[in-house]
Amino acid sequence: MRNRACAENCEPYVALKNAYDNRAEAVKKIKDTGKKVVWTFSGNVPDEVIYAAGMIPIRAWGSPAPWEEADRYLELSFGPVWRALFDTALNGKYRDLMDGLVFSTNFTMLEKMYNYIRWIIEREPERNLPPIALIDYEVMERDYLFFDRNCKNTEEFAREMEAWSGTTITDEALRNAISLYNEYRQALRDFLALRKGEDSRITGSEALTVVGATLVMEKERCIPLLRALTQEAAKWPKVEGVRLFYTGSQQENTDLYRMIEECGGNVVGEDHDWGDRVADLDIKDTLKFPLDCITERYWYLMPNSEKSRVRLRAELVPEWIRACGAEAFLVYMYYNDEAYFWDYPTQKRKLDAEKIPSHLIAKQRIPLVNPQELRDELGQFIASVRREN
Amino acid sequence: MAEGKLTKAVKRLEIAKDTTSYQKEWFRSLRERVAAGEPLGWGTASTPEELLCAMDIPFVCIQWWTALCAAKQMGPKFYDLLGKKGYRSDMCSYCASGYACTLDPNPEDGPWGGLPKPTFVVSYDHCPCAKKIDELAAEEWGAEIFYMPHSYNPVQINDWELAWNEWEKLTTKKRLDERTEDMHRLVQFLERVTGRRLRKDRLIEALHYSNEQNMWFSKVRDLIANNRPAPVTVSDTIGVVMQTQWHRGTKWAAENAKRLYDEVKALVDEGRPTVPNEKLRLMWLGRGLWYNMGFYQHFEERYGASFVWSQYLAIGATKYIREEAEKDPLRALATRFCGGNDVAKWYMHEAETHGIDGVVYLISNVNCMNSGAFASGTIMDFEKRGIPVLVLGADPADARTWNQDLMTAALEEFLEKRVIPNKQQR
Repeated sequence: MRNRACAENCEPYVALKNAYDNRAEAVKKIKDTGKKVVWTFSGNVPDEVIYAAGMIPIRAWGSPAPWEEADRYLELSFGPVWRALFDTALNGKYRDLMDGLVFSTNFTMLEKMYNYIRWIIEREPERNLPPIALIDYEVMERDYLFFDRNCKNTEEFAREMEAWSGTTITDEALRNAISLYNEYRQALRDFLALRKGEDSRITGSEALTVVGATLVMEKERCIPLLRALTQEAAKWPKVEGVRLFYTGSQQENTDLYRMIEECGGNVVGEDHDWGDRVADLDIKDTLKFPLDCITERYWYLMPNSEKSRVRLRAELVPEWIRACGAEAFLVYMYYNDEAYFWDYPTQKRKLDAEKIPSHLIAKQRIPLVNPQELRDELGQFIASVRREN
Repeated sequence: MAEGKLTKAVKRLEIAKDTTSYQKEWFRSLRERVAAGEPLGWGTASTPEELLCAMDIPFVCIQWWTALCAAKQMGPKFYDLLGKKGYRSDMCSYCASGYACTLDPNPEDGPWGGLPKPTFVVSYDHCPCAKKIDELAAEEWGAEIFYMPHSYNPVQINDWELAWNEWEKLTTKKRLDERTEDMHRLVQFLERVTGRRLRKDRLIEALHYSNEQNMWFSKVRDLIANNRPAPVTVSDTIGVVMQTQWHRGTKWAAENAKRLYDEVKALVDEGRPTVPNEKLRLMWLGRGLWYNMGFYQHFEERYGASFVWSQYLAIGATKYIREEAEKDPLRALATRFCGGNDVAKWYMHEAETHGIDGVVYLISNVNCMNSGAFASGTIMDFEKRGIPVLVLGADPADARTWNQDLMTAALEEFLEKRVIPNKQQR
């Protein structure tokens, strides 16, 4: 699908899209300012702590196939998203732009990746890989005991970031970071609100582009762009298309969303780390210790499938669908991204009862093995939703 | 079903036959106890069974049940049940057998009269799917569930060197404090769900039995490692070891492990190894090939190739014992959740102490099995050290993934083209 003229002619959108399409260049701009750049591998890494240490967090993106490093080190059980990210960490292409890599335990494969890279650093020191860290949040339980543990983990992480940056993290720096990132999330939410509901003004692929761009930019720079964009996008033509809520493997580029749009659909909400989840929850600066405030956000963040109970997500999914005005629910999984699969039958029963159509597509590869088959499957599902409505 | 004929292992040790008989009798009595209203626990191999043993709570380990289902060739039936319920039938074979049982309209047709309904589930958050499967199973059973959280161990350690008597060093104080706290939470959960109380003296006794049992396993391991030919092979010991391990903490388990040692020691003393023509010593990495245990023995006759190492005996021998556990039994148990993260180093250590000539690595080609074991790194370490590795891509529980002729041919080729020439060169 071609870009819409309204987006192509919108200066802030073009600036953001440029960053999205040329992520390494966007990161190089940050690096050229002399600041250290820390690559984070999931939305559960507390960016605010890295920022308060005087470094700039950006989100790591997967490299295009073939993934030589992943093929060399990873087992078959790592799906394509993880293989692509692993190659980014190791293939050396972005080494000059990396001052550190941070992984998190909210995806099992990320934790394993961290462990494997640790193994490689020990055995192959000549590769000169950047330092690595892991933030270990226990998010399955929601009582004080686990909050307290996670607060201590944030503290450990903060000490590690201080060591990386050579800067002491002060409470003032943390409060500034909280304030900046809350402002950023609010600006992002204001923009993303334009795709919710029947009067949707932006497409899923446009939303994905903007969210992704902000993940590789300094927040001070993207906040004004987001605000200007939101003002303009509110006047963009209404988007026609069956409104879908998306869950499943994270989408780091717009290929799938565009295919959905070509098939007559539009993703108006999702729960992955390159979409709505980025804008979810502000940090409430109400506790005495700012690190605790930060912990609270990452602990309560939109639960991803891997670290959530089936029952909880079955309750949340209809809420998410209602909140974004979606008409149907789509689960899309790459090969071996399996957690969603154990969620789905329970979700489906719940959605069936509410007469919300749902569909699951599994075992997909990057690059797609049979794009036409996928297109047909998506087209049939979207057409069936349209017929029912 | 699998392609090609699957085979059962020939039981060459008396204790192997006796242990299976005991296990059947134990399961029959467990069914009776549950039918009479006693609680039943269900959980992963990580569950601290000594705790349940001390509280006299019947418990079934998921991995044992899956292995039994696979050995009884019931996997395909169960995976089909999952498919009919809307789940994919080709994934999570190792963890989903119990859930699949709940979907069986005729559960009594399951192995040994079928799995009785558990009262509670102990779930360990170690992978993206297992805890979800546990939750679904618990819901079907109307059982309560306890989540043992997973936490990354940042300490780089050779855990096999420290586990017995320096277990406080296995992780950071903070993490060990937290895991100990989780043990206390588990006790509270068990007391609430079952109405039974934990007595410290009973727990210490269970830990002593557990130490004793695994000490005998370590002695068996040493007999295998230090003797050429090895007195016994994996196929001789795997059933005994695993079935004994699921009774960890009982007097019977400690005595059975000693009986295993006595029988193996007699083979050494009398010069009667089960594979007298041993020429090659192989390591079996990954889970056991539960539906096809005779596979290992085929290569003994033809090549004198003995599988002398599998993780099951080795884990018992190196990783379970906690000396002076009576100082703080729950803390000692908590260290079981603080293992090393560089398993490749441990495998290498074991290969070296066992005089391994080649490694056969079973890695599932359909789902997550072994994804945590850093298979590629392990393989690289072995190859770098001059020990060839063959990967067999098949699932340990799902026989549909196995092709007997192809796998046999692959292993024969591996022995002929890599292991034998490599050994001759060395």
